[in-house]
Amino acid sequence: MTLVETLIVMGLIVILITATLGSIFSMQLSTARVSDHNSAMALVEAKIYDVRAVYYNPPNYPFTTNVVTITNQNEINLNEAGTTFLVPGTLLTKIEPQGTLGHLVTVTATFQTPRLPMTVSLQTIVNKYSGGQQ
Amino acid sequence: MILSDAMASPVRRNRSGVTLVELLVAVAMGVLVVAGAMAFIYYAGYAVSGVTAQTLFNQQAGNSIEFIQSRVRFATSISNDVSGNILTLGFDDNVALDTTSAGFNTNGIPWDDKDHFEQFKFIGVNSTNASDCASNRLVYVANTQSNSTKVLVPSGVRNLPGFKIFTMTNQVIAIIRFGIADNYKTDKYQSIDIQGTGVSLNRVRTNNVLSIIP
Repeated sequence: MTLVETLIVMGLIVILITATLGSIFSMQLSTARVSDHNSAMALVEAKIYDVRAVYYNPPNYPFTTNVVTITNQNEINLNEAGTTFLVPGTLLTKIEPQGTLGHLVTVTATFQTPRLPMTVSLQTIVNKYSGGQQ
Repeated sequence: MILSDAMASPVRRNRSGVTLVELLVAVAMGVLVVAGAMAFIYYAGYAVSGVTAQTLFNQQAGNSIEFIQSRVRFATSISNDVSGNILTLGFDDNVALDTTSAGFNTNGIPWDDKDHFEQFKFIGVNSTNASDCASNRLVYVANTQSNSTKVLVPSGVRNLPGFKIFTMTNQVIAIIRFGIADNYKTDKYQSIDIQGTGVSLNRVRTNNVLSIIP
């Protein structure tokens, strides 16, 4: 084996190791982001449930003839000691009248996650046929 | 003294092989390469372990909250214990019959009976610290008359700071807050926290919520 062949093999090995480390690092970031996404989605879904639990009696608040917007502050990503949430965020609930269909509820959460802020959104329709209404 | 022709020949023979020094250098380099490969595999293994643990927590937490919410939706009664560690749900097994069971009398409404009860139980030590929660778990009891349970989260369940696991609002809304944390230190800290709400759609008129929880 010549020196050139040895260098080529070593170069290929270095590329392989670098790619493997990069993949693992990327997977770690991805799973951590999925974790934050799950936490954010649970909060958004909780807010959807909150709205669906409200007595549907339009045009009484919050199911009025105008768009109603409600803003809540929330936090996710608890630290190891279990004392502090690391990522703050905002939940924006928008309730829009949709004529005879009822009201369109859109909940959007925006969290300031590291590297890239995360936005999660869910929608539902609430009307007189929704379960649990009078 | 007469030498043989072969021994007397001045021509050198072409010998193949390595010298002792070459062999030692090659062995040393081989040891270095193997040591490097082993160290790489060692740390890569822990890193992948962390990724796997985080993926597992994501699945367990998401699956658990969805499952709890799905059961709460169909419950005819919701209650929690004082510690907030047990959520008890009542269910009507026959919506055509107005039955009497478990201390509840007939009321003329056939769909709000409590024919059987299910429970979600947090078992362990209430704490927010990851290292204290290694053996904490979350289980589901499909019928309180039976001893059989299904484990939803087998370890690492913890409280969120300042909150109980299960909180009730207006007798029809169950607020569920819990976290799952990794107690295996070697692959670094993995965790997830979940804050969800379950609402019973079989609630009676008097329990309709009049405003959105802030």
